[in-house]
Amino acid sequence: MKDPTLPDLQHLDEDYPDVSREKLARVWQLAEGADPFQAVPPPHPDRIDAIQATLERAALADRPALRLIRTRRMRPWMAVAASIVVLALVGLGWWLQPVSHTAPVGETLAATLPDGSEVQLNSNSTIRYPRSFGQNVRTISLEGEAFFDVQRSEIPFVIETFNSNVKVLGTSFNVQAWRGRQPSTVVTVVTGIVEVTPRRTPDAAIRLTAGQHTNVSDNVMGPTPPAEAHLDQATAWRTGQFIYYNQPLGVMFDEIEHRFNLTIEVPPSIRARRQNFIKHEVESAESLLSDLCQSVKLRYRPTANGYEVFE
Amino acid sequence: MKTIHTDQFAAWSRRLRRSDHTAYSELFRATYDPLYRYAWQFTHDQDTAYDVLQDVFLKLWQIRERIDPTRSLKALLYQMVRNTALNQIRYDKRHAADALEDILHEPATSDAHAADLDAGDLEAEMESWIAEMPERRREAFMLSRYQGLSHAEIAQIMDLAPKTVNNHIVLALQHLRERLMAHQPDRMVS
Repeated sequence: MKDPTLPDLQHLDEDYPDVSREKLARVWQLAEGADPFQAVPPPHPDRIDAIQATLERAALADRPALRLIRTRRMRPWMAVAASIVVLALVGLGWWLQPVSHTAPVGETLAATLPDGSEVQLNSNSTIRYPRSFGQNVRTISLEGEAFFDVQRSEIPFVIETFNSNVKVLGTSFNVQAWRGRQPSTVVTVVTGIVEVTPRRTPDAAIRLTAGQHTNVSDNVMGPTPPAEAHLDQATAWRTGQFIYYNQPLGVMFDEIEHRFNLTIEVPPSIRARRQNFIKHEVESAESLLSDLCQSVKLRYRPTANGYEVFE
Repeated sequence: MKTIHTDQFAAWSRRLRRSDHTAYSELFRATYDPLYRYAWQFTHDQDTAYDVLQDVFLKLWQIRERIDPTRSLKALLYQMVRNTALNQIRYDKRHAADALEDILHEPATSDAHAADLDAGDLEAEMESWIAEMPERRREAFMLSRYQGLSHAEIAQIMDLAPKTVNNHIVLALQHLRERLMAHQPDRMVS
């Protein structure tokens, strides 16, 4: 590693006539192990990696292609070509950016898709679709809950939730895909036929006809078999109603949480109890909770970010 | 860094001029250790040495199109580290009232280290004799002996005439020889 040879020392004879090159070479050799650079505390690999990451980011942010516009050597036709390229890239970037709609907390939102299909979004729910939606494919992603009224077309209409694909040709149905305490995708069909495919077990796909629903949960293999649905229960949110037939109280408290974006603490023993509860007009989270607790003989009190329910 | 061939540095220069990100990363990986150690000789502080290293490479990317592939990229890096480190400690001295601490730091490198080792140990003695040299002479000698830089490169890094570098190296070696003669005359009989 260490250079054993003395560098080419010059002017030795004229400036230092009494010094012999051989003796200096011997000193050079003996000095090998005394490297003061090795006495320095060694650099820490994490710090070096962090510096390298900073350098790479900075270098990427400063690409020559973009700086080209500022150089003086550029000819007019190059400027035009560069502008066209930049505009095309901006356009492409815009085109690749998906369209998204989100219903604000406490409200629902109606949207019409490019193919004429209509979507109503529940509070705090989001749909996303590519700008090319409807040209060759009709694929849309859903976080939360939405009701779809799909235009009939040869192109399948596919809704992607976090764990399922819901495929239809033309029909109206509800998809509930909250990722809360018990993440599941619940599909309820109002008219037409819908195909539901769990992404983890695509072979277990099932077909639902009008009035049926199914539930895809990650804890259970495959969707539950098609069952008769209470359509007014599944779509009550669309009209601001609160309708449950023989449902666990946990489901109702979860719905209040979603609609009003708050946290309700409920002991598991209470969450499991099944009840009927219907309220056609919901004024506020508090009035809803108050009526619900009264009807099932529970008490509640406010907390920092919501409510606590107890016996 | 001594083991990296001059041609390799010339190749990195050419690739950097073309804004080659891979060359930039390779160069950093290949040179950070000796450059950090060189920076530390001025800063005597790890954090400042890291800052110097990062600033030098950020600056290198900014000037990449103006790098002359016929000149030594290795010397350019050392030169940038030296200037950045010196600026940094000048700045620190102006801004921190702790100038005293810097002065206290100076001998700590050599003496403390030498004291750690067995007094009879030639390496420890050597290190203390290197530490005795005038600052510029010591630096020129260290770059020549331990970083494998040519006199022309050291002249560029330290902004000296090549002949001055030559004199520094000769005088440094003579100084070590005198110390060796006084201390261990048998080592010099060969």
